[in-house]
Amino acid sequence: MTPFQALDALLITPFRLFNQPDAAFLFGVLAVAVLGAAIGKGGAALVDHSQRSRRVQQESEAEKRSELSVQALQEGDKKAYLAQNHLAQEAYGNTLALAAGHGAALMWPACAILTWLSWRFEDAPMPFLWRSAGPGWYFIPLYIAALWAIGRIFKK
Amino acid sequence: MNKRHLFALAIATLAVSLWLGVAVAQQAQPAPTATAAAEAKPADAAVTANATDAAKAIPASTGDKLADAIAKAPRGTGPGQIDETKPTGFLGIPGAPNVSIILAFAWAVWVGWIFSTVGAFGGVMAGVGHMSVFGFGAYAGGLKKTAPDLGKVVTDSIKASNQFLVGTSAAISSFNYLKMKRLVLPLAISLGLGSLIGAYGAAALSAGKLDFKSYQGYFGIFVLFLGCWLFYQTTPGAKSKQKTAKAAAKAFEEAVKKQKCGEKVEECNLGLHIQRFNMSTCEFTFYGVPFHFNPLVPFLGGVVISAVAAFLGVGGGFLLVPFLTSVTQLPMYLAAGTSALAVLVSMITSIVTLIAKGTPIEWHLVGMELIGITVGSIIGPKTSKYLSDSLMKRIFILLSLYIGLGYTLAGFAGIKIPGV
Repeated sequence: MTPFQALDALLITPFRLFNQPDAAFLFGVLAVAVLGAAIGKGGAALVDHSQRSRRVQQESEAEKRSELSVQALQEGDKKAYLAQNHLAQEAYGNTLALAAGHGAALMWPACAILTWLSWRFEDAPMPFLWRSAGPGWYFIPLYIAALWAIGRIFKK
Repeated sequence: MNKRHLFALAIATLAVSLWLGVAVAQQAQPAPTATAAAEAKPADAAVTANATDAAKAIPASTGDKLADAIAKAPRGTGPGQIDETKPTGFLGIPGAPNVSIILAFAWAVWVGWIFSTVGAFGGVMAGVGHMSVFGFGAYAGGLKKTAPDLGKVVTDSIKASNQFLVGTSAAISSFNYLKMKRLVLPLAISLGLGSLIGAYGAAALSAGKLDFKSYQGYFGIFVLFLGCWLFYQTTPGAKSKQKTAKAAAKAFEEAVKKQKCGEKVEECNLGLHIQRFNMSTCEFTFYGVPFHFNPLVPFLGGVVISAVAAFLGVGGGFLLVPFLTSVTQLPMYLAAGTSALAVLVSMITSIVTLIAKGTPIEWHLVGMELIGITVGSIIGPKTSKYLSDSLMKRIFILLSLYIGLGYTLAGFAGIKIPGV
């Protein structure tokens, strides 16, 4: 058995749990979405951990400059406000680029599973959708919902 | 505005963007004659596939547009022709470049490394990978005379892949700022609406119409502009301005330290209050300080920035915050949260529009690149301490000038410079 076949056998398992095809398909998509979201969240946590010191440095710089800019506003010092705001914006730009890794870690499982779903259900009509619709129309919203739900669970 | 409202707003925006995509898809495809549910293939119909089935090349998510373009392309072994005896490559096209997964992964590690050390230049490098390193650009360019439709589909796919790699990550990270409730709702609506129109317009109007050479030329101008801007930042004039700004910032910081009030601004008082909002004016106070802007300005800014981002396949997030802070003089504190909504709207709209227009994306290639970016982002912070920041900046300024010039010349003048 090749690694691809092993992965295929693993991913198809939840699609066989119900006899009714629509229910089986929808449950299977939900299961792989949750699995992918869990892997994505794990990867993102790993990226966050490795970038922690740099990220904290940039985020606290952005936060500090933002606070100072607002204080400058309160005191009516426009020159200081613009200067602090500019520095805050620079730090924000750095955090945005730094977050690309976090975003990529969250998304790669979705791309991998979507590739598998497109291959596995090629040309199969999707339940309750128009004829040309692919599995992504179910998978993507479920994946986003699963990411949100896992985020909430770990937050608690 | 509480968290629930913010979430509802984000969901509503997402739903509108998806609805637009569905509407376009339904227009492009024949309407279903009956519910698809009854025809659904049994979930594990393919389970019985034999080993050869399992090992078959995973096809890209092809639409009719790609199949039609392949069918129309001339057959043969010459340049710009489809050689059916050759193995399928990019997007399942026979004879197209077949990118090694190792190369795609290694290049993406490099892109991720740049993102986590140098910054937004990683996005440019992602584009360079698709266009030059993987050979998709040369392939699409070679189809210009023989199979222009196929060349345009390949160009759209390159653009969509760039945008997916660069912009979606930014959109996801922007979402965190959206959750922080730092939102000026009228401004967000104005900017978001402009972004929706700009992104949809650019993606819908350019899909299937842009040949690779033109795309390469415009992308080159963008990179050249970026390189010039980075270079300007290193000139004595710009450095002096930065020094003055930093000195003003430091002076104020020291003045604040002397004051006894050490509490965080968020806890101090007041917050954001909208005073007046109509078609021509939005007035609000933030921590007691009055601000006002014309809602038309962020609307137009949203249209232009999102249209450029969607047209070039780059993320617009890094342009929106400077736009908001410079044009509306909004504090970064609010600009980041407010622009996040526009970034999300713009990204979702342009990608959904491209896909709905039948633009194929090689998800397994994008997935592999995302793994590479993840790994590069993990390695980046661990290795950057051994490298000088200023040296890296200089290297990337030179790179962006060279790549920008190379792409512009190749795209618009047909002049090739080595390595690009």
